[in-house]
Amino acid sequence: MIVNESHIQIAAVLAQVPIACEFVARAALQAGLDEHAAYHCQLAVDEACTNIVEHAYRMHGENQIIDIVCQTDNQRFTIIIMDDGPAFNPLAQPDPDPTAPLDRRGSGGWGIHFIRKFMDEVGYSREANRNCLTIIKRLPA
Amino acid sequence: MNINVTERDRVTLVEAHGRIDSMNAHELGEALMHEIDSGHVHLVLDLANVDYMSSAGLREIVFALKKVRGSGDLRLSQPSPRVLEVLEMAGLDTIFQIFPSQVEAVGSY
Repeated sequence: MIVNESHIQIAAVLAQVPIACEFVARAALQAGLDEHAAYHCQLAVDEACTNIVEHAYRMHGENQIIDIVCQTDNQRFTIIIMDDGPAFNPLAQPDPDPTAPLDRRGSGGWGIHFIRKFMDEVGYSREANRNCLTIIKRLPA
Repeated sequence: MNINVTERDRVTLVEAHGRIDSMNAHELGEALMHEIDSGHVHLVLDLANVDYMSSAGLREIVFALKKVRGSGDLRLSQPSPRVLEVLEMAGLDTIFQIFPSQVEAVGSY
C-alpha cells in the first residue's frame, strides 16, 4: 500500500535535470533511506533523465516534459520516470564492460549500468505511448 | 563546478570543485583538453572537492586519458568515497592511477 506519493514535472532539458535530482533525493530521505541510498537514487534519476534529454529528445526537448513520480510503501521507495519520446527500453541495451581496457572503451552506456547497479530493482514498460522506467530502492528493515 | 589550474613541478594540477554532471561535464573536458593541446601532458585531476560525479564526468576524463596516454598521463587524486564508488563501478580504478593525496599524485611523475 502506497503511504506517500509525490510528483514533479520538468522540461526535457539538461538544465532542469538537477531539479529532478534534488526532488528525488529529498523524497528518498523522507521515505527513510539513508544519505548514501538517497544519493544512489539521485544519481539514477540524473542518468535516466539525461538519457531521455540526449537520446529520446535529441537535445530538443524544450517543449517536451519528463514526469517523475516517487512512491513510498512499507518496504520500498519507487521512482517512476516517464517521457513521451519514441519507444525505447534502456534496460534492453547491453551493459558496457568494466574490465575493458582503455582503447576499447566507447563514450557511453555507463548511465544505465549505474542505474542497474545502484538500484535494487529496475523495470521498463510502454504505457499510453509513454516510456516508463521504474527504479526501486528497498527501505531498511 | 569551478576549475582551478596551476603548475607545480612541471605537473599541471587541475582542481575541480562542486558537482560534475551532464550540465557541466564538458567544461571539465574542455579544461583538460586545453592543457593537453598546450603541451601540458603530466596532469593531475584533484577531486577532493567534488561531491558528485555522474557518467557524464567519467566520459570526459576517459576521453582526456585516451588523448594524453602515450605522451603523458592523467592521474587522479583524493576522490571522495562517492566518486570512487562510480570510478570502481565503471572499472576505472584499474585504468587511472589514483592517489590519496595531491602531493603523492604530483610526486608520482
